Amino acid sequence: MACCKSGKPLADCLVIDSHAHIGPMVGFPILSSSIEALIAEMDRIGVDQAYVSGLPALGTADRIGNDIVLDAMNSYPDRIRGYMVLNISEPNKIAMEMQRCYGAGIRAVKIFSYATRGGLQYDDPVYEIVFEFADAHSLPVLAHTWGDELDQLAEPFEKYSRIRWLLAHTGSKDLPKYLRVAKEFENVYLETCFSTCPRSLFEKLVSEVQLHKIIWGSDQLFMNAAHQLGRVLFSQITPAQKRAILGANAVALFGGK
Amino acid sequence: MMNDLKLIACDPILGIPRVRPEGYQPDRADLLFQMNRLGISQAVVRHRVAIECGPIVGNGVVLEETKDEDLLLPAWMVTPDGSAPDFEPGKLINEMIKSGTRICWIDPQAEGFSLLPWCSGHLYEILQARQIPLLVDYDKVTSDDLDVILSAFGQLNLILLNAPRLGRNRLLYPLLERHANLRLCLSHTYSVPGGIEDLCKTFGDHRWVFGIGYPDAEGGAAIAGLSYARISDRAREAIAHINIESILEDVV
Repeated sequence: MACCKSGKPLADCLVIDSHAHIGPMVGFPILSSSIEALIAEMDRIGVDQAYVSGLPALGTADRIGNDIVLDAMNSYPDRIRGYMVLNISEPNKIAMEMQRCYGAGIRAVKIFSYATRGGLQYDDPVYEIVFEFADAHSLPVLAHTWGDELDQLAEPFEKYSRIRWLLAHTGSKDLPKYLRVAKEFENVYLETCFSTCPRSLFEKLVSEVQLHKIIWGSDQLFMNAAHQLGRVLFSQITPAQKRAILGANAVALFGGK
Repeated sequence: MMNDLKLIACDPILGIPRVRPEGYQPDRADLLFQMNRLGISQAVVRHRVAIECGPIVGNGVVLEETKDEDLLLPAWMVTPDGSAPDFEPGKLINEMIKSGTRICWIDPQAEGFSLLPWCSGHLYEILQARQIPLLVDYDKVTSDDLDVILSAFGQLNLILLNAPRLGRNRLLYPLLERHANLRLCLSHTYSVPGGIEDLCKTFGDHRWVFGIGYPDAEGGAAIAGLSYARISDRAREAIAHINIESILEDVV
């Protein structure tokens, strides 16, 4: 907290951002969405590594978005890890794009429930193509959620047991549901970025679920990562719990160094 | 350094909502506890009972809750027609000032009026003339209405609460450019990477005040946002406390 109050990057704590983005986004003029901007933001507060998806891929330009991420990984191999994102509107291209991304070094998947403007639900058969691949390769899947999607994922949680499911925006809606699935399924984890920064959420999470399941993310460059960091640093949990949430748990989840 | 920085939070609202929050009670004791924990020196305080029961009750309650506590600065809810029995906004404002209150807020949905000048213009005239700042929640006013209001009352000190994280906001930026007296309360809601920096670079550092999102947000988020902003120490102080102090001192 002392580093935070003095505006200095965290120096004595591994910080891994499990939920970050680069690239331009429709309807959302990010001040600067380049990889350089992300790295600068990371350096500013002391984030060591970030797992990143390309914003164009959250629309329908999956290849463009994934290429942005691949370039970023190549430019900053120690700092940036990638999520591949797939265009659910073109099911016959999904497997090929996943293989391409996997071959190029991406070892995680991001799914986004508004991906097609009409929004295919996660229990649509098209998503099975994604889940089959992720399961076969034991990949983490970061799922954008806002409460309702958890019902759609109930069967996949069970069926695709080699996937490590990371539920984004935990507590955004229907917190008890997030807590329930995290307790019920060994392979379900809770990612924490949430723009309203609800009071006492981290205190609730550590009291309810196993600590290793709570994974810090920021949603930068959509959001200011400093706010998401402040939520943890000022929460009334122990320093050891903060360290676990901010970085150690992600190391275990993603299997990286 | 934020360790020594005086922080004045301009957005706290006391009072238990109809759906009671889990784990905390947003009352005076809780606010003071949070302020102490977070290092907040003072807070401008509204009271939710003004929304639930109207401003006559609400303004009395906020005075009671902030009584004998220098850390808490009351804000009165006002309406364009003043209050019973006189229904004269000038009289209401006089009473407000006499009570020691230097800042007010409005909720057009709760009290059923239009923010536009045809309905609220007389109130704005009085507030403008006396340089009394007016707090309005971003969700309670449209951008179009803001433009009309501030075009008609260019000296009105209007402070928008809870401006959202929409990047380089396509509605706010033109408004800020057009209306020099439009100000923002910067809390966790204005979660824009580089956002504080860009606001200061584009519009200067004198138009921003600080907020913590009390009672429902973890106030440390906003503190971290200000702490890590790549702005000068002078700008940080301005946002943290100087700007709101200056605004309140200017009240006639």
